[in-house]
Amino acid sequence: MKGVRLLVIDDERAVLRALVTGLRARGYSVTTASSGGEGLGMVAMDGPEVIILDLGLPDIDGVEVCRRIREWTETPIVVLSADGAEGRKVEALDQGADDFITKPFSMAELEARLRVALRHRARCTAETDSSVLTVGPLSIDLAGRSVTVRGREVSLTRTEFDLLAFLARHPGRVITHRMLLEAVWGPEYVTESQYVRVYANHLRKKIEEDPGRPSILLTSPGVGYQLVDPD
Amino acid sequence: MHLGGTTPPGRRLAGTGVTVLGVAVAVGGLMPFRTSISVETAALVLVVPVVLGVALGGVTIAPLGVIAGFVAFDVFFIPPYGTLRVAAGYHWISLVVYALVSLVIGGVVAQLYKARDLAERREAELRIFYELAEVVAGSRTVDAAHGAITALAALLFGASTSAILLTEDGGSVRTVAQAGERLTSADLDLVSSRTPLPRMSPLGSSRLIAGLLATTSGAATTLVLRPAPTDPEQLRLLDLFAMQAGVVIDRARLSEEAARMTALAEVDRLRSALMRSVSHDLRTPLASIKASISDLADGTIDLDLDASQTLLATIEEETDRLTRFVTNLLDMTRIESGALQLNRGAVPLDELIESVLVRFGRLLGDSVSLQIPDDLPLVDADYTLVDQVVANLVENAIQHCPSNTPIVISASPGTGWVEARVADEGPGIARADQDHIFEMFYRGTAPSTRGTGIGLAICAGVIAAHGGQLWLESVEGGGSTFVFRLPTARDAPFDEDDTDVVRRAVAPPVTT
Repeated sequence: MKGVRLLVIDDERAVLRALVTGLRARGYSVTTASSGGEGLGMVAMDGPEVIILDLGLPDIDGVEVCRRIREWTETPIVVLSADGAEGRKVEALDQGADDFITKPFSMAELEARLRVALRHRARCTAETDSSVLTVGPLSIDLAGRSVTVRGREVSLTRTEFDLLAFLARHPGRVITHRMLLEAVWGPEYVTESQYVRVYANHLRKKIEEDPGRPSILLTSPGVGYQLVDPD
Repeated sequence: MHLGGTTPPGRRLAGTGVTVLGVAVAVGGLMPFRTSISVETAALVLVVPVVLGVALGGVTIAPLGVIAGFVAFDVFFIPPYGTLRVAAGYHWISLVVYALVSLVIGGVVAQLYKARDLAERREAELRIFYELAEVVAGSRTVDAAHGAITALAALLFGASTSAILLTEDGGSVRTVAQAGERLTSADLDLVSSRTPLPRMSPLGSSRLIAGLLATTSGAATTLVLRPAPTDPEQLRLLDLFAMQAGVVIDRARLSEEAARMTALAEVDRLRSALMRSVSHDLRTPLASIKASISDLADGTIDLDLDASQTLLATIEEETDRLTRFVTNLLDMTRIESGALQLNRGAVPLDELIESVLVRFGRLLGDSVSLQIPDDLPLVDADYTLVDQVVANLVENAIQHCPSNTPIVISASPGTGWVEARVADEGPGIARADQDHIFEMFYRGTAPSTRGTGIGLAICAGVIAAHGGQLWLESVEGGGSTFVFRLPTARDAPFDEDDTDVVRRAVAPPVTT
């Protein structure tokens, strides 16, 4: 990950200092902003490859910053949350954040999230025109509505396919229950998160090698699901 | 004050007296002239006592007055005198006219009386409403309403005993309010055996009257009076009173519930503010510490000396910050519960301030300057708590100002106190926030507000516990200065006139 350009937006000087020191030691090229307004300006000017965004900013709410960034760029956003409340993270994810990490966290955890965000976003932008989506061992043919796992075709119901296809369009991103329900079942179902739970379990039985310990379709407890390349 | 609808017997008696006496006087006065005055004059004069009597004694006097006047007129003024016989036919006319006039005037007066009675009854009712309205306004609690209602009932209905009983569903009865004499346990048993009584009802030979005022889930409120009013008009008013009193009690109960809800909401607000504060103020330093330590512990990355130093310094500063926060939380609980114990002693404020600044270390950089005279008197204070006050004020200045904004800390002696000032050149504090800034969990209205509203509240609590003062001098947009005053220690070791003596006194004793 040498030279990857990161932007860290956080108003806590000590957090900034610790993150910047650690990330630079890992070879990232890091710039910082200590308010939402400054951060938005730097996203526009510097064009970072990943944005690390704290939700508790002094001027503009972090969720709002997420929404404004998403108005014009798909740069991955990893959200830092100190709230301990699930609600704020979910809001940020609904507004287009890719992933979240709750304070306090270790630098290794943060770097793992950065890697996932970077890898999938790179692949995602390369394949936007294709009608076949590939995430790790999964290959999803959107036109033919067929799915192969490690070269072997699996048969999915219509809902299972829609769910998998939606997740595969945003690989590496944590997709909230609400987003999945709205996209697959329709806006009137957004509170029925048990639907997603049931279908995700069905899907795992068909695509995971060990459905009890999933490696492709991951759960963000209480928040949503994430489709990742296990390698 | 006593409510009533009919004319008292005393006035009826007086009215009768006036009528009879009036007729006698008129007859006596006119007798010498009965041959020279006309019959009609005598008739006119004799109307007067009848009207006076009715006016004084009420409508029941009218028949008596008319008959007395008629007989006197006929016997004394219509020839032949001394008998009821009427000699001349035209005198019949006078007699009939007299009877008619007396009857008509008596009737009119009687009507007036009826109207007056009605007005009085209305007034009595209005008074009940008025008194109850006052009770409503004055009764914030059900207990207060009960007390006011019993007192008012005793007064309005002339009762020697007035009480409100609460009957639980289980059947147990207790007196919740009373005025006048106490109810005996036999009275209580009697009332509870008859409860519920939807209307005010006399209870047999006990001279008690009782009726339901209000019911809630599980309990009935009953008003009991003794003696029971006998007058039907008063009974009617008592029913009206009971109905209105029930409304008063319900209102008081609702207002009690509303107050309870408000208190609960306030507790809830404080609890969530505390949770937010704990969550943010604990997690943020922990985040820096954990991130720093995880880097230092990671064998796979190359940290140069500079980076390692930065991370270690971060850990140290953030640990101090955590310590400050935890101390604040403890102080907060002690201040809120009133259990703040001061461990007072003579404290050198200059040393205290310097040690606080050392702890902040590189967070402050060169932005802080000190202006403290060498001969600053010691203050009489709890070192640890004042240390926390200064640390909170400095942290507040750092938090609300851009990096490297100059901060000036100064101290100066006054008469009996020392004044310390922490001044920044930051954005200042909005006028609207200035009045609330020392309230617990108050976080300011500006969107850019940071912090959790604990630090300054603790400063205020600690300084107040010392008998000192803390205030803010801030110009919106032009920096903020927090000023506190603490009392000087009793025996100040510095004396302007004799510094040498002091030096010797302070210096450690030299052993020879």
